[in-house]
Amino acid sequence: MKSAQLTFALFLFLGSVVQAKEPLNGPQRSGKNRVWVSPLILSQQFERTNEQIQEWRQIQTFAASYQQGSLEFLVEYEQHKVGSGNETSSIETETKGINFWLHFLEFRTSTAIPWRIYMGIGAGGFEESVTTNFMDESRTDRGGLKNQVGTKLGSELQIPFFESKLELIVRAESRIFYGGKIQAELRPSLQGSLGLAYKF
Amino acid sequence: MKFVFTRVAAAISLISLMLVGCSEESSFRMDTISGNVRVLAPISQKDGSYKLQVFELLAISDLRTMAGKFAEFIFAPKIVDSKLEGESVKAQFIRNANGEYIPKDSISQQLAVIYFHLQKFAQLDKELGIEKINTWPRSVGVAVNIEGGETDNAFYDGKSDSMLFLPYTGKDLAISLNGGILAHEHFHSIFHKLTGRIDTATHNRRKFLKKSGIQDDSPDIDSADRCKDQKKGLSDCRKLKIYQQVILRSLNEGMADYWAWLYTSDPDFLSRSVKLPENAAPRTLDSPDMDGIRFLPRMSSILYDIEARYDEGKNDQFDQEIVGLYYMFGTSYARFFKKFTEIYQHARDLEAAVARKEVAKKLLQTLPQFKESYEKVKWKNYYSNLDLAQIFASTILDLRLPECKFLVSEMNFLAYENSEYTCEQNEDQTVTISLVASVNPKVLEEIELAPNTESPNPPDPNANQNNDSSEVSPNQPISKIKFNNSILYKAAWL
Repeated sequence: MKSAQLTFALFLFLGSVVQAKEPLNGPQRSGKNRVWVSPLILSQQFERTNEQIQEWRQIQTFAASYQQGSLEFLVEYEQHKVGSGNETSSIETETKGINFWLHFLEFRTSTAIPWRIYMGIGAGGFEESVTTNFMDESRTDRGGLKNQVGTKLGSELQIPFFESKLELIVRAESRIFYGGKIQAELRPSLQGSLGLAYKF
Repeated sequence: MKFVFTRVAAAISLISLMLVGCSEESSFRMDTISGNVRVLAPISQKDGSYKLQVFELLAISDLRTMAGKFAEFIFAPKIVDSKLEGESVKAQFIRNANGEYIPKDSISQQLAVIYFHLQKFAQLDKELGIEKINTWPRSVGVAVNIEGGETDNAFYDGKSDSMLFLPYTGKDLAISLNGGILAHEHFHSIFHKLTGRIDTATHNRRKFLKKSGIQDDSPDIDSADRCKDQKKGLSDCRKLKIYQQVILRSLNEGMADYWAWLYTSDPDFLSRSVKLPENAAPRTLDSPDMDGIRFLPRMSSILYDIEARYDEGKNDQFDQEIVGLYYMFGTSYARFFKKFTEIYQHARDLEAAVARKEVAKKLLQTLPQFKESYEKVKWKNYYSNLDLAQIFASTILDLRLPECKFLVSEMNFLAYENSEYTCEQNEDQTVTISLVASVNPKVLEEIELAPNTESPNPPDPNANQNNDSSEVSPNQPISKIKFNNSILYKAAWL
């Protein structure tokens, strides 16, 4: 897993460098800069449950980005809590994490409501804390910072907000994370978001 | 501006690269974690209570599937060719700063607890000299589905030699966290093997197999049933069969409950997880505080309970009622052995744990002899618990007076009329149980005339009192009195 993470992070690094030296040409370049923020994100991650089945779990997420041309740098914060057990013995696992994404290889339409698709690669870290409750005892343990890498494919609609520099952004992404969790399973996730962008 | 931004992005990527490279967490995976692993979970304490505790799981070969030297787990298993088959469980843990593994969900916690107790059972088996009885790792099925969607139970399946846990839906201590119930189920595997794999199962194995889609063609006691053509009514043959099953399975359940107490010191281990129906007999191993109470069930009492529960045309209900008897009389056996252990402990001034292990060894010695005596009468006569008491007593070669008095009171309660067991203290302070037999000559006559008499040595009521003069002297230590009890009981019963 470590070698896979290293390779992926290296790929991410080289991608950034190449992008810096040889920016893409052609009609897919927007040439506009913007900042974007989305407090309304619906994330679902495919994870193993207490019943030993893989199912979608909702993740609370907040994200903001800065875009220059076809290159977009995005930061997202996520957290979620999962519980199992009964009144006598229960376990709650809380996960908090932050991911950094680089969106690139953009394709954009020039319709009245522009639509674009993009790819992204990212890396981040998260920490899990487990609260174990048993009768009147309770203790919380932290698993330390774990790193993960991921890749995504997304699409977005940019809906102009009257004649202003604001845009309503509707996004849908599919992602795959790898690493971090000691199970080393590939973890697919889906995300839909509604955000506001300011162009300049 | 463009180049500034892309360089910032490149720098962040580089930082990510370094983070990944330096991350301690990225250097291990659960499926590569092996050896001894420290885990947090609720564990039974010496006083019978439960507390969260970090304990060590030994010889783990794969923490992700919780496989190791002592257990292998299968999720929602099926039984194929007498083996559990299905997917391995995927346990989930985090590792804290102290290197301890903390289960991330209840099922992972339960697996860790089951593994821990199984490794302790292996140690206990070794201390009791039965380490070769079971094969390791033990096979364990979790989240087992059975017909009818039954939950909140666990059982041992002799044919697949596995421990099976149904889903737990209660509010109390989950069955798979209950060390007493685990010890109870583990004992069933011992009983099954020490009694030569005769049909000891209390639970309906066929229901489980049917749900799992498996056709089980192996014969059991029912298909080898000699009362097949007497399904209607409670015929003598059927009554005998049910009676013998009650004896065998009650003893199995009772000894298993004793094993749970031996292991946890908790006489109410079951009530921590299971609330019995109001009309069910109490399962506590604590005896009622009454003078003159006797524990081992008499033949007449068992037969009365069987007949009282029989209701023509309601066979399913009758079967359930009979299962209830296994546990009701099982508790009597468990209380008998527990009471004896407490007397043994005080008579010898021993630590409780030492006394329990010593008595457990006697109990294990009792089982093969019990099996032999049970098999002899299985389809002929009603088995009497006097046989069991005698066999158990014969395993204690250095009997003390309080122990002897307890055993003798039970034996006299079970013995046929006109015979009495007594304790005799010898000059060297050892005690022997003697039979003062004043058997009705008519009964003896029947014994001698019985066509399947296997013992040449029925007790001689006219034997002299010299311990050395005759092998069948009633005053000899019980282990030297050789008569075939089954014939005696047959004579007495008739």
